[in-house]
Amino acid sequence: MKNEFDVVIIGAGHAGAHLVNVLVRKKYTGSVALISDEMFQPYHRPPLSKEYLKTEQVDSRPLLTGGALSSPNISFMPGCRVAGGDLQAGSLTLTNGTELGFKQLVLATGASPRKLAIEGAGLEGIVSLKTLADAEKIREALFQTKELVLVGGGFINLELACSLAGEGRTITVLEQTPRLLQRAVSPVMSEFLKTEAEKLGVRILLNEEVSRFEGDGKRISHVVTAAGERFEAGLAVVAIGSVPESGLAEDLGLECTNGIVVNGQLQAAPNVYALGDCVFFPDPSASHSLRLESVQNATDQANYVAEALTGSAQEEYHAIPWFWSVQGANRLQIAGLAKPGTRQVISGEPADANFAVYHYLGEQLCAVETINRPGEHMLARKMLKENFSPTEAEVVQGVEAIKAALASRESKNV
Amino acid sequence: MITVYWVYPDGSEHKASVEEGVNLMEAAMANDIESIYGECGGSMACATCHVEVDESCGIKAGEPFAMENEMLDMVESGRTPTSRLSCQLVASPELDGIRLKVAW
Repeated sequence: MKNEFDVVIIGAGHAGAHLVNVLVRKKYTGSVALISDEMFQPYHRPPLSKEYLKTEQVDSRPLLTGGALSSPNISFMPGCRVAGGDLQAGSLTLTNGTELGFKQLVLATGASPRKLAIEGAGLEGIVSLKTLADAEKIREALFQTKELVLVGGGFINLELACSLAGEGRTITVLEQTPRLLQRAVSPVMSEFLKTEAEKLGVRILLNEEVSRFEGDGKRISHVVTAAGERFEAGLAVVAIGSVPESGLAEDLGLECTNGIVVNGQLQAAPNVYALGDCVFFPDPSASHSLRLESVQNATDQANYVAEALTGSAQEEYHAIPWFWSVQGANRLQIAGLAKPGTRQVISGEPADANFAVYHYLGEQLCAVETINRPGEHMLARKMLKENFSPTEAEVVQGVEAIKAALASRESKNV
Repeated sequence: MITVYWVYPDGSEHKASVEEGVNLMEAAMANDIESIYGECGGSMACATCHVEVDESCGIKAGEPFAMENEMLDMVESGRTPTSRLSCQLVASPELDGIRLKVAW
């Protein structure tokens, strides 16, 4: 027997789960299947690298609202994977043999940690962090070892390092490039985050390429760098970026280049939407497409697709990207996208752990990084949305000067 | 368990029992309170759980924390003197019967 649905959503991370929440809030009455390859109810992923590992409490934070969990028209299907399907026929086959029919398909398959294909990579005690099950592996390993090597100096490992520092642990971060978070933040920010992690006792080594893992044949004992240095490790966390999960989309005959290719309406084909970390979507403010890995991107695209599925005519998808990362006591927030070659203006002092970095391309503001300035982050999102670029003098004077300039422009535009 | 009331702009009231220790954004999500989304899961990054405490119920929620205070200045629905981010309000006996206005 074939199960027919109006909408089938593949993937129950932030994108898929939020889409269900919004459809329920919109009183959508069609039948919806939410397919997850995990056994758990959908949960918030950002805490997994932070408070989840610090607390005794093992509850994860649910993503679905009460209504989404209880609505009779929503079928949550945990522990299922899609084996293949036929877009023309509107059918999917799960690996357990179940056949599903759909009128509209939503691919929210996410991204997975990039693997390090080097000698010893199959040893126990080498993990990546994406799911609750991964976080559990890390939590268990923490009972057995105090020697942690974190391969890759990106957001996940810096968050982990700051969360796990102390308690007699030796934590070493090995980053291949000359600075942390090279593709994501300004040099000033890289340096600040490095200093702050070091204050917590984390050792950060740059320009270090990992060449192999050593062990006793079963479990990891050392991480070895190309320079020949050996670091004792009872646990190694590999976080060197993510790759989009687009294998299924390719099997379905959809175009994929750095993710599932979609048009400005987030459609990969008629009646097929894709959203979240797995999507390569057109950037309306530029002439190219991009892929973003963030909660904001998942959520905003889910909001857009919910509108589309419930029949509201819309303009092309457009949203201001924003990110956050909590590293120890510091809250980093980024509004917009810091492209290479920007001119940077700094407000405040990194030494005070309270500052902002404004990125300009020409006179145009394109991104703002803030440390422990959530209000200024919100203001930055507003400025980017309204296409307002404060002058360097206004930035240096501070938030009140910027707000005044923005208000003055708004009043002129009325 | 305490009782929490959410009040919509049309005056309609939505009541739920909330376990002590649970934050009121999560409680709102569990009870499908309109316009509260808690996109960041309570990390104080999104400001999508803004509420106004209706002090006419006799219960006050206290002053916002420093970072919350900065966020509240910028919320889209507009700050009021008793605005809070509900992810920062944790159910406790003192808040039993609290009334939270949601705006959209």
